Amino acid sequence: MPSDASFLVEEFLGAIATQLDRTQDDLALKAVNRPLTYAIKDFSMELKVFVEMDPEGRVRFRTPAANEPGASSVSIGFTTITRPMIQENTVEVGLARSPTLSEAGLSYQERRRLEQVGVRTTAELHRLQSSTGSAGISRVADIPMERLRAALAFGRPVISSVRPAPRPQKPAAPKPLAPQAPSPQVPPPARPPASRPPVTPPRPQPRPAPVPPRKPPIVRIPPATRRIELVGRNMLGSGGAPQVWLGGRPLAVAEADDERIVAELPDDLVASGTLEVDHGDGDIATWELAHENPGQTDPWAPAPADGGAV
Amino acid sequence: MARPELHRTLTAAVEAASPPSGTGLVVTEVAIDIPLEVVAVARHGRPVIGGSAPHTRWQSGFLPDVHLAHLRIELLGGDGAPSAGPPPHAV
Repeated sequence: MPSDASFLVEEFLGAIATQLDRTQDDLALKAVNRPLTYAIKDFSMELKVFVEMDPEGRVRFRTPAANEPGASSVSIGFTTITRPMIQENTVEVGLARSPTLSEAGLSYQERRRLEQVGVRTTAELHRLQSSTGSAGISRVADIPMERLRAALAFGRPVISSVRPAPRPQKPAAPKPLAPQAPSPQVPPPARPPASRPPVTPPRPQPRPAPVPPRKPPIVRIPPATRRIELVGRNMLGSGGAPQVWLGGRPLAVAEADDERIVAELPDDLVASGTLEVDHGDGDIATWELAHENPGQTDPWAPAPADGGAV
Repeated sequence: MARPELHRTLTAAVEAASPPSGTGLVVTEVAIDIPLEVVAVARHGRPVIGGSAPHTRWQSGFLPDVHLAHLRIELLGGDGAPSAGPPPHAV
């Protein structure tokens, strides 16, 4: 095997970790038929490598070829850790799933400078900005303020439309079996409750401060609407699903992903009023829900008579 | 020279630490200092680490550098946790 290639340090260490994982996989397979199982608890290595730096400022490792003296010694230790330790030492999922700096339009050099201060996603950029301010990031990373603001704005949750959501499809009823002789002694089995999508109860948090008065856009929906769908991007943000209120009452979020949120209305709540969505970043998006036909409250009532119709 | 991937060498080292079945001997922990000839090669653009024991004790300018590795191997219990000691039936 020739060893003329150099690799990024993280790739190099990842390749060693992969070998250790494969070793554990091999040993786990062996444990199926053997009563005693062994595992590698610690693995350390005094690695001889040439440490190089590429034109982009990234450190690379290259293993020495035969008769190539002068390699550096790098001591690397691997040990087994538990799942809670993994969770403590990795970034939150909410931060990792937000748009990348590349998607936010930053150049390679700008991304590199932000990565050097621990920022890889727009959510991490937002978190850093909330503690140090945009001016501090701009100065340290040498990124113009307007480009930084554009990247921050790109990472914010955006709701592009609000519309009624269809009711979830109920599972089809089982086909009736062939008629059989009734058995009067056996009571009929209890009917299982209809399955519904998981509904997260509204979080008992204080209602946000009222937003300054402005005219929210009006969304007209059928009066019988029981589920409201919010469509956009980055909807989950770094803090999870947003909080939704209608007329001051919190709504349960039935479905939530980055592009879509579905909120369910309680049975005693009319689908009209001020709809507020709080993503936890200080901004509250507001809409005014109104019925499609204000004079008609019964969704099954006949349409108004047309004078020209027969 | 073709070199096996590192995990094959490590698995062989663990295998060597396991006592033969039927002897009644139980090894609970092994620490090994093992010299390895390690190379990193690119496969589909990603590094793959190859490693094997040195094939000679003699130092030669034509052989790659030897990397000293330290392995600690432990016996696992039935639930995957490290065992507290030899099982009661062990000699």
